[in-house]
Amino acid sequence: MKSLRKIITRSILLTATIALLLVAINMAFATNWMFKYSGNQPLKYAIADISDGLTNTEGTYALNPSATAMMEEQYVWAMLIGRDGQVIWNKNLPGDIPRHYTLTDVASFSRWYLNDYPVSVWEHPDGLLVLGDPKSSIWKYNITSTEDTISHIPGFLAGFLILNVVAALVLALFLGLWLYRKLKPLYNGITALPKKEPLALPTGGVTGEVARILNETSVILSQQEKQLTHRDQARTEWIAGVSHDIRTPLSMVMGYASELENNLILPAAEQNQARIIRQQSQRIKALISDLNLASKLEYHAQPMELARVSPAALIRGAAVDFINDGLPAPYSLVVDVTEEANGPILLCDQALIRRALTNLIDNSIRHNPRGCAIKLSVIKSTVGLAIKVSDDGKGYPPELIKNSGGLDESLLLGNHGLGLIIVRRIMKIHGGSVVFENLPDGGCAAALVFSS
Amino acid sequence: MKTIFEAKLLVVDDEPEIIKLLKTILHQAGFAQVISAENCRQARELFALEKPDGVIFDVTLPDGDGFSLMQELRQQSNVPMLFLSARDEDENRLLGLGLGADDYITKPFLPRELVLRLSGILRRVYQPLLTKPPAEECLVLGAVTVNFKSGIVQTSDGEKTLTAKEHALLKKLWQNQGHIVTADSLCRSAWDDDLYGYENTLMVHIRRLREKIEVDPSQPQYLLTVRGMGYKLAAETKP
Repeated sequence: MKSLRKIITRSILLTATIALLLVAINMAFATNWMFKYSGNQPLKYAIADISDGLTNTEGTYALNPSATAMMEEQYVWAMLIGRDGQVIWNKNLPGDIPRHYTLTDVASFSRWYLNDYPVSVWEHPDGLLVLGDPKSSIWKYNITSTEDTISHIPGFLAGFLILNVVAALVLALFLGLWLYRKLKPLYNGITALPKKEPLALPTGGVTGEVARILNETSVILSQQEKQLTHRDQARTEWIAGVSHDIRTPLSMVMGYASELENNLILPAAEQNQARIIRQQSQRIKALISDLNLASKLEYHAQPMELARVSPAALIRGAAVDFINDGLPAPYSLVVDVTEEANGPILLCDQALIRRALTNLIDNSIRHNPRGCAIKLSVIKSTVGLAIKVSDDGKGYPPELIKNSGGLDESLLLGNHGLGLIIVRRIMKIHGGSVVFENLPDGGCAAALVFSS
Repeated sequence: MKTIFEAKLLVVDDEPEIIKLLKTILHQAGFAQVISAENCRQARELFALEKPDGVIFDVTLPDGDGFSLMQELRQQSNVPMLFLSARDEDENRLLGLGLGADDYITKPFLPRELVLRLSGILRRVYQPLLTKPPAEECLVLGAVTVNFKSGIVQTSDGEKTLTAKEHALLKKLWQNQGHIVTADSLCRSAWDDDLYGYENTLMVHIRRLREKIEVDPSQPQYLLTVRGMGYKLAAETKP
């Protein structure tokens, strides 16, 4: 839910930012426009200049060249109305413009148009200078406003801006909430997918189609999960069943072979053969038990009894069992631990880790028929705690070392039996790993690494 | 019953071949009276009728499972009961549930193992009734004799008394004479706790024990240190 909230919050902020940005852009644009086009407006200076350029020399009016240029640049015609209402000077005056004006006429055109010509007026020492623009070129409108209204314009603009901001924020919030409402069920559905249980999201509204797809996906996932579990379970049960069925006949083989082995009436050679049958039956027994354990570990059918134990006690127990059972002379077994390892610092299933250690020690013994010195130790590294079983024997085959990381189990199987596979699977269900390495001075080491 | 071999044994297994094997093994081991049942119903009848002195069960039976049958029979009698199971997972159930079975053996099994375990259980249950009280629990280490009952160590220079902890430690070592006992198991026997925190205490107690039983405590002949693992009481104890 946290990430959805984050998404929605961001989207609200983003929307608000966009809205504010739009307001800002609009305002900038408007301001710019006003400045740019009102730039043509202040003609008053030009008119004044033109007016100054119209001089009366002994009863004859003349526009000096610079004023003429200014006038021609902006206006089509010009006239000077004398104090009596009579036009006393003109330039390019169209024919449809009267030559005499009353006060009423002047009052009218000075605000509006003169025969549809937009005109500008300026006071001249001898009368009124009127300048005309072409027809339909300028839109004239007179605004009358009270002082009060004008004085409120800045406040009004600020209020307008604030209102915009508030509206933008409220709309963004509303949109965000709406999105949140709509997306929440979808979000919940997606986060529930890994549980592989069927979903029943409402399929109405704008998100209905996505919800429907999610529902369908969840059904497929849960079906697959069921099939997989079922298959794993069937496999484990099948192996357990076969093991059970093999054990009864094997009991007979082992039982009677053992009887023959101890039958003093039989010649020594036959007794020896019976011994071999008995020994091989015991090997088959061990294999069946390994196969069963390996399959249960792989398909999570092995119950874990986690407890905090001392790794030192664990390896001492494993080592002493081997020695007390009669470790043959060419082999030696030592334990190297610090006092710290006596503490209950390892969370694990004791029986399984003991089994892993037994398998590793067995592996060292089996692959070094001429004997070797085996060492068990506990190492604390940055990665976590590790129990190490090392020997000074002939070492692991190189391909096993090379692929230690993403090890293919067929390599482990090699000629090691199921022993190393079981070690690996035991570490896997503990959330750790096993690292195989050959030592520089000969021999090899397997480390059971528990991530902390 | 004069010896454990007079005990009447009931074997419950649905495989006639296994029954035959068990009978052969048990007869050869000296058990004369072995009766058998192939299912729970027969087992119940025979148990009531024959009152066997020990029972060996298979776990999977055609009309029920051995665990329930055992629990049912256990309520009527305290005779030794032993499981013979063909499934690894039964071991977990047996240990987990604490059904009160005396032992379990997984199939396939070695005849010798079965006989040893069965005799052990029978002896533990019936021996005290069969024979006179066992000889005094004594450990002889050269010129030193340890009497566990009185907790007294007899040496050439007189008697010394063992403290309770020393007694517990020495007894544990004696029970496993010739074998290494981890420091952890020793600590469990004497203090009923993990070794952690007791490392020095254990060393001190072993030193005191050596002072009592060794001729030269700094060069022990009997109570030996096995570096990194624990201690061992030497097997050779000729008087």
